[in-house]
Amino acid sequence: MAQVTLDTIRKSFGDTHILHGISCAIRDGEFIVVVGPSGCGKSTLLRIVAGLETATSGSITIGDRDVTKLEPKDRDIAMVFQNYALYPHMSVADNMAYGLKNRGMPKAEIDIRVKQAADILQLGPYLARKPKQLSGGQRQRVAMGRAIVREPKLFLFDEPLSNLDAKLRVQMRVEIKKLQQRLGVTALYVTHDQVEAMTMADRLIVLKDGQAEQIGAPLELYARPETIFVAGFIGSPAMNLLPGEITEGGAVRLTCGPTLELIEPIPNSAGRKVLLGVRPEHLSVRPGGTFALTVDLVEALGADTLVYATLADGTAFTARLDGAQVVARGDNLALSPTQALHVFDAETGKRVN
Amino acid sequence: MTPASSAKAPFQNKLLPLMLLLPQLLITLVFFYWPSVQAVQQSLYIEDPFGLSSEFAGLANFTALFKDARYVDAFLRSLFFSAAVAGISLSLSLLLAVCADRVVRGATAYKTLLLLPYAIAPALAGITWMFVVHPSIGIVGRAFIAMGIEWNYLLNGNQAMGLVIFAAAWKQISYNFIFFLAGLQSIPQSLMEAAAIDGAGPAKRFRDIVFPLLSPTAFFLLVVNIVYAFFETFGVIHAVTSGGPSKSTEILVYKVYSDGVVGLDIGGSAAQSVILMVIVIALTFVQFRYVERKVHY
Repeated sequence: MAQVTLDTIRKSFGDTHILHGISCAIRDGEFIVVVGPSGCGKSTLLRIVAGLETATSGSITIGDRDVTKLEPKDRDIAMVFQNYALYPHMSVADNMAYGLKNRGMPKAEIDIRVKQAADILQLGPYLARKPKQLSGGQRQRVAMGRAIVREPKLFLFDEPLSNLDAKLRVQMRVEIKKLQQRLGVTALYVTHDQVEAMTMADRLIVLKDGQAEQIGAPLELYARPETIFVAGFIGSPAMNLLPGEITEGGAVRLTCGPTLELIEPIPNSAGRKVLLGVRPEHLSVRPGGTFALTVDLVEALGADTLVYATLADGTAFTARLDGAQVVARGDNLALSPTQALHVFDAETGKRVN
Repeated sequence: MTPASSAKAPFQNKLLPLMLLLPQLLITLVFFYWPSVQAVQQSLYIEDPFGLSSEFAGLANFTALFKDARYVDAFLRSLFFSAAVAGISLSLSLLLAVCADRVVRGATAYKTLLLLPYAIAPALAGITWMFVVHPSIGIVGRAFIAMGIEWNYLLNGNQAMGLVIFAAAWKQISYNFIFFLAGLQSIPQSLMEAAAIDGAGPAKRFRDIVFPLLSPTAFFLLVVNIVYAFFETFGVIHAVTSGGPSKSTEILVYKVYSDGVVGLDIGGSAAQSVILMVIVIALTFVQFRYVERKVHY
């Protein structure tokens, strides 16, 4: 258990810059998820924290120690890999014990720790088996077990659930989060799945092209995305982003027609090009509503209904309406926003209001 | 055949697959089964020196062999020779493969150069090394003599043995190298990283992770190398030492040749080749039985 500080971590390969100075102070016991599209540098960041790659510049502190120049084994971390990286020729018990043996722990104590980990992860009956005799979910748990027997200061997870099927993924997601809360170990978790990110994280780091777009609690990011990228990335279905410009009175006039008043008008910005963000779930049917739509496709999910439609000028628009709605393809629908709108500068992509 | 498996068969009638297999079957039949059967048959007869008549002798050829001290010597020599060849070529090629696996820049060039010796016939490999170490015309041979070593493999049996072992092992290194390199590259990088986080340094990672995962490959190669040393090294020995000096490099396969073709003891030579055949069958059996099963990943 420890607090972890990442200070302006940069990584470049020649002229290719992978990470542009990531900083983050992680509190003791916090679950931090690094999320972003593939190629954003999130795995590189994790590997730098693990010590498997060296940062071009910047420093990492785990607990009170600067570990920037230390070998992986001296950092007091444990890592769960995407492909689990279990040693195929060792039994489940040996897989978990290997790291302890290398540190010269007495055999009796190793046995106790392995037994405890196996109990927590329900691996008791499988201790003598080889990894190839286990199912995907069980292998995942062995990888977890190998991490927890070490009782490290920091857990690192590199997309640990992406090799599992959808149902198991949800189940393991809950198990990992529970386990981390129970052990109270600081964790850094990398994923490209925004649902995983939202559900597991105490705080999220949204990474894009090697830059931290925003760092904050999941609901903070949902309620107040700081950039267009975060707005589009967090939330499913994705936020509708409509082009427009600011009027004299500080409202937004959309290119597709309607003008929307904001709760807090934007002063002194008349003519500024912006994108207006409306979450699909923050809309309701209202006769004469702001957005006049023609329905293209309806997905009725029971609890709610997803409506894929087009605006008068052909812009695609998604709405998520409560309950089962009687809507069909070709219908005309009028919707009004029910919550605060998001306004982003069209050029910089930064939040305006 | 069950209906399910016959439904999968790509051929409707049986004639076409037979026709397609026929050339290979003919080659195997003419060049393998026929001589093998003849060898077994000849090993049971004793032929007169002029090849005019032969008479059935039962297992007399075999019992004579095992009473012959020179045959037993050749047998032990073969064991030593093949152990040395397999040991040297396996360890050197593993070392080279581990090095090549780490090289990033120019890796293809290194690999190609390391593979080249495999393209050379055993006899040529022997001749090449003979030119290098020949006591009067070879660079290395003359250097040995200049250093004061009494180097003459034409007279010294131990030196001759060392030379043929070296030439035979050198040629096999490339073959082993390919398999070891492929084996090393099939070990996921994340395993090494996991071991590094688990506190294992490079040497310990090699001992605990790499070597156990390579062991099926190593065992397979061990069998292949023994077979190679027992049989295919005839060319090396024939070209470099012709089994001499005074039979000090005469291994089993060379004795088959010298007794049969040179000494014209057809029955005895055939009995020797039958014994060699049994050894090869046993080795192949061991390989299929244990190697196929021991693969970990």
